[in-house]
Amino acid sequence: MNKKLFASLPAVFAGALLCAQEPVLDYDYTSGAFERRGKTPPPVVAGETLMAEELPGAIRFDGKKNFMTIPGGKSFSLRNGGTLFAFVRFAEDEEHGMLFFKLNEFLLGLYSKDRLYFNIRARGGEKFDAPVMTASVPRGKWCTVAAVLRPWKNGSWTAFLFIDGVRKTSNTFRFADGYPETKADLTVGRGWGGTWFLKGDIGALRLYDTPLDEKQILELSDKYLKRK
Amino acid sequence: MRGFLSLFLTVFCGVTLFARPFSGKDLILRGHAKLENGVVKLNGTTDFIELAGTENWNIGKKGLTCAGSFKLYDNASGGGKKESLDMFFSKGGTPFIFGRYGNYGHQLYSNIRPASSDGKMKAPVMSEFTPEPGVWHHFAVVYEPYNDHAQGDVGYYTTTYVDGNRAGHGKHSFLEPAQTAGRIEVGKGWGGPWFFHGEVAEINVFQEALNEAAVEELVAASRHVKFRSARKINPALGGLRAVSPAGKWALQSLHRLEPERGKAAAAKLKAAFEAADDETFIRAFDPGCGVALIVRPQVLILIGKTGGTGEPLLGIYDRIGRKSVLEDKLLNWSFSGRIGNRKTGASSGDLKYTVKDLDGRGFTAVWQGNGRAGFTAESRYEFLDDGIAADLRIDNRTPGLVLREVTFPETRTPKLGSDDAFLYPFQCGAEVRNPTRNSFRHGQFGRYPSSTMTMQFTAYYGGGRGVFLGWQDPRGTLKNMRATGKRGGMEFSWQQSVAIPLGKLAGGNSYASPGRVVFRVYPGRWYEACMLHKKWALSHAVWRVPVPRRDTPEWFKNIPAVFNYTVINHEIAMARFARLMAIRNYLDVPVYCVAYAWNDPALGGWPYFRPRKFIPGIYSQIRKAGCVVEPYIDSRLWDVMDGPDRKTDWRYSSHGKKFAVIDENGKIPLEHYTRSTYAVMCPCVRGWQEELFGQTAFVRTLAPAVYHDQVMAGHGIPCFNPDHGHALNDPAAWLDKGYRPLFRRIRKAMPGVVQTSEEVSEAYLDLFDGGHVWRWVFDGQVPAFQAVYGGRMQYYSLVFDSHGKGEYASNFVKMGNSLVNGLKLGKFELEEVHDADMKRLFIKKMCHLRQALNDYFNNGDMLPPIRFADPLPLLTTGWSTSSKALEKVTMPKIVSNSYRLGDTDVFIFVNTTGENLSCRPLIRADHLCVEGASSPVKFSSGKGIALGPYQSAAAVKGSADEARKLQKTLHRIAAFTPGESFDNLVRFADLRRIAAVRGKWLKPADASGYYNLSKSASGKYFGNTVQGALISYGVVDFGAEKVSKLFIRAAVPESYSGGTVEVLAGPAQNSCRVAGKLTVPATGSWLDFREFVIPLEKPLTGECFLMFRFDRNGCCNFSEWRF
Repeated sequence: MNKKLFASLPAVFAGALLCAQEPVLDYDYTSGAFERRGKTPPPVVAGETLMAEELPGAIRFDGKKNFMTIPGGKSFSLRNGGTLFAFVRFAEDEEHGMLFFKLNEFLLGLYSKDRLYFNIRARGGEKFDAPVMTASVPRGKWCTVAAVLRPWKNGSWTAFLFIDGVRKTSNTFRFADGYPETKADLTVGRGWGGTWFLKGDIGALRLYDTPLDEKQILELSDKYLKRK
Repeated sequence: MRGFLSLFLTVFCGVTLFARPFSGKDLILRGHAKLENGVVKLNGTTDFIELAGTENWNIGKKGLTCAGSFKLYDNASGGGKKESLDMFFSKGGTPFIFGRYGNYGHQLYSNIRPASSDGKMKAPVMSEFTPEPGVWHHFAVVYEPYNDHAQGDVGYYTTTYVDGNRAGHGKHSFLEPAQTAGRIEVGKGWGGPWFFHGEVAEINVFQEALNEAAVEELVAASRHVKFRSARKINPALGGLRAVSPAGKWALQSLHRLEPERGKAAAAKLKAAFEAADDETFIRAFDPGCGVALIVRPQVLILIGKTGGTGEPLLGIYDRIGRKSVLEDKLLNWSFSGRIGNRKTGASSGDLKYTVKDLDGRGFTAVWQGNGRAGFTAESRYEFLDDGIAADLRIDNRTPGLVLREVTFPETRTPKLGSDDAFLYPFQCGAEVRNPTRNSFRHGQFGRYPSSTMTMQFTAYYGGGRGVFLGWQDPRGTLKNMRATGKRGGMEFSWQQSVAIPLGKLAGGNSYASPGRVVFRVYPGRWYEACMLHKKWALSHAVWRVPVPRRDTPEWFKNIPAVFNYTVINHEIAMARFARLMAIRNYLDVPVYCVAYAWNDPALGGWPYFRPRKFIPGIYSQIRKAGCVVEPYIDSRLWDVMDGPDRKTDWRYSSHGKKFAVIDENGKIPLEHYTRSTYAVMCPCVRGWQEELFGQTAFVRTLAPAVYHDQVMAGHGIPCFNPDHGHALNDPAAWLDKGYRPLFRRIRKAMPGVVQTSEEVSEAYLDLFDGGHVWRWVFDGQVPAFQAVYGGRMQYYSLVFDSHGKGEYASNFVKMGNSLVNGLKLGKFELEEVHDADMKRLFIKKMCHLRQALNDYFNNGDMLPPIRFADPLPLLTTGWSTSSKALEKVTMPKIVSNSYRLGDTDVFIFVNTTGENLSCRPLIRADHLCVEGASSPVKFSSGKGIALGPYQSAAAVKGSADEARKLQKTLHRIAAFTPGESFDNLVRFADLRRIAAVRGKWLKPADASGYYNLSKSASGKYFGNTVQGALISYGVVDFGAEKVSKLFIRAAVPESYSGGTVEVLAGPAQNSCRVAGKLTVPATGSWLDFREFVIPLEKPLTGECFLMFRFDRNGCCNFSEWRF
């Protein structure tokens, strides 16, 4: 255990307690119909989407026009840390696919074919400037991806990335002017537009306004991977 | 310490007033100036004073006041020379100056240098002033900003004072004063001949504009300047005393007679003065005393019987309130004019009068002007039970004398109690508390008829009694009103321009008041004053209309909500149309849409309004959905660059300019909005009337309502263009001979078309159906206009978040206040109701409540304000206004009002907060209807009314049926929900037209589009339904035969069964209604499709939009349908 993690044990413990709360957003398409739990209302889907006819069920985005806007997403933030989670099958030819996106605040998506990519605006400018990436995201296959953002008592923050419930990498940084909260829409499947749509199937989405720990991420991931 | 330091600098910053004794740091003495005993002597050649710390004090948004006591040494012997020039105040860099100037120094002079000027000053204000060397005087100048940007009028007023009395006044439109970093200076200006020669003390400078009462207080506090009361004092009466209140009043009134007459009258009234009470005083009054005591039920009036100097009316006494209510200025009159280039004038206070025809009904007073300006003025006074009425004629006997303005009447009422207030008919009505000291924040100068003076009366009241001062001018000619708190009382003056017939341009014009003025006492406050005016206006004024108002369409009277539908391109038009239809469906009431910028600027500028290409089509769709659009035109202005895209002078110079107003300086008044400049047009000239008639006739082809901007709100301007054919400077030309015949013609030619204008003003009542009262968003407002005119005019609607964003809590009190005072709800921007929140829910509740109360608002009479056993808690919120600035408005948390219609009284209460509140109204009612309850209960004044957050209630006196009807609405609105966010608005990929064939299934491939659900990858069915998901089949032609049921195929497993599929049908996509619905039972699995029947509530025939809506997530999979 390195010094930093040791120092943060109380925070991790507190996080574990907190994440017993309901997710803020919980959309599930895997049973063949859309199911919603959590506090967030159903999404507003742009464009006409397709659905998989086999199980697990999914909503299929075309990588061109389809995306969803999360009602109330303007007020969702990671200012106390949080977790972004998706059960997803990226299309085999997908190169840049956006999962979660809040302009000038944070993003999680697929970058350059096989990299899971999280970024956040940390230095107060208008650019995302605290990137963290990991390779080996499968395309054409179901997988789970997650990003966890965790604050530390010393004022620093760490972004962790997970694929199929396994922690892959992390990046620790500081916010120059505090957390970059915005009132931007929270979208799924579209970032800046252009190439930044999502081509693929979404089986489930979850958002937490607290950081989940590794065990919780693994349990969550297994729950969905069993449905493949 | 402070006692001997009489020279001090008073500093006013923000709202904190603090006065500090002079110290060497405050005053910087230049030259040989020295401070001795609180006085600085200045030698007129080198000496002056600088005020330290005033480097940033400029004429800015808060205004600026400079005041001080000055003793002049020179008597102004040489025109334009040193002796005639003395500077009082200026500032380093000379952005402004205030001093004495002119030939022989007989003028007070203020001027301001604009920021953008070439160094020259361009805002002069000069007034006559007779210098008195060796005598202390108090001089003050007040620079006050005003901002009426919505009428294109922004700038500053300058007002100068001598010894607390107003001396000069000027308005400087579009002035932006220069700002400098120099100090404020006393006694210097440009130096040279401008150095002040004399003594200075008691300098006060404020970073705000003081009102007249505050300036007067400075004078009263002066050690050097002797305060001079305007009140006449007869030393011979000094030793006399009276016992009764009426006796004291009569004794005081005798001071206004010439001294000997006063003394003689007092001698004969000695016994009366000793009377212990008023009735005894009346009986003891000696009619042989030389003055007449007129005894009326509510007033005593004292008249100089034969003749004298000044006013024959000596005073009015309120017998009920036992107070003097008219003193010092007693229906005075004055006029100003010119003989050649020289100004001249006269005032009743300086002239000899004779009284004739004095009897129990009234008398006539005659004044003769026999100097250079020969004239005869005659006033006929009529005694009323509760006051007096008077008219005025001035017969001009001098061919070279041009009468320009008449001031009539000028009055003064002493303070009427500690709870005193002044009703100023600004917009709906403003109540100014403690008005002898406070002024209305938007000024107390009103021009009638306009939004700054919507009715031709004022009232001042306190201690349960009031005085009413009103004009009874049945044709509503132009006039100005000024109200001032002064010397512990209220002073009112009315001013009118004098028509100059074309045959008398060189002089000889006369004046006849267009009606009479009435001064009355009454019991009550603002509402009771309104009732006095109402009685006259609805029986005598030419604008009176009956209720129900037959010439206003019922749909307009009853439409409850107003939204802004301004669109400048097709894309925005469609997006906003979708929102408009969504909100219209959500509210479930028709919506009135105001529309600006619908005209295509590429086709020409104002007044040539022609629509953008997409406008007729979209307006037609809006009408099909049961809503109405009201296109905007401006019926007062002409764009001086009226060519396509404002690049050229297309028709202005060739067609418009000759119809523009010419002011008294020979110039066309111009108004500026953003980057555009417009000329004010003369409504009394045929050419402009034809232009407006044609424009209105064109707009009515687009919509059944036409909005004429500015007409009711704007100030009329007397026109001096002799080519127009009307008399110059004629106060009747603007409305009575201008807009009135024009709009009567329009209404006759276009019956059923709603004509509206900006805000309201009574004299236009019969010409317009509604007034866009968007600026009724000021603190201190009372519903005075509605109390008088009720549903004879439709009031729509307050500005919400189009210009600034109000505090969220303000939305509720604005809406609640609108409802109870008879306004339509709105005007909202569509973006304001984007979210499904409490604001949107409250709009819907208020709309439905208004619909239930429409009869009362449209045809009823407003009753007096409801009184409560306990004071209602107040709420202060920042209201959005016509600018970005918010106005803090204080209202009760529960707003209320009451109306009478036939035998039924209804009392309305709205809780405008999220709190649980209760109130105990002091009313007589039989039934109480509270929001959410299923039936009315017996009203009990002891129990009061409990209101949950944002709840409403109504108490009813009279009809039980009416109570049940209102309760039904109050029960229904309690179940309303906020609906859905605009996020859920839909634009489908396609719009197909399907000629459906009976029995043939229509597949997913036949759909025009779908929303918030997915199509299976094979294309065979839809699934993944989200609550509110839609499938559109575009326009379906069902043929001529009635279709009473549809068949669908759907699949859903047991665990998801119970969802509802709705059939939506209608004339437009966004105005579809539920035509039928089906609760889907379990079929086995998501892929076990079964056929179901959906019966239709109304049979479908012909073409209509058709959609299917799914009420919840995982409702069912849907494959096809048929009929």
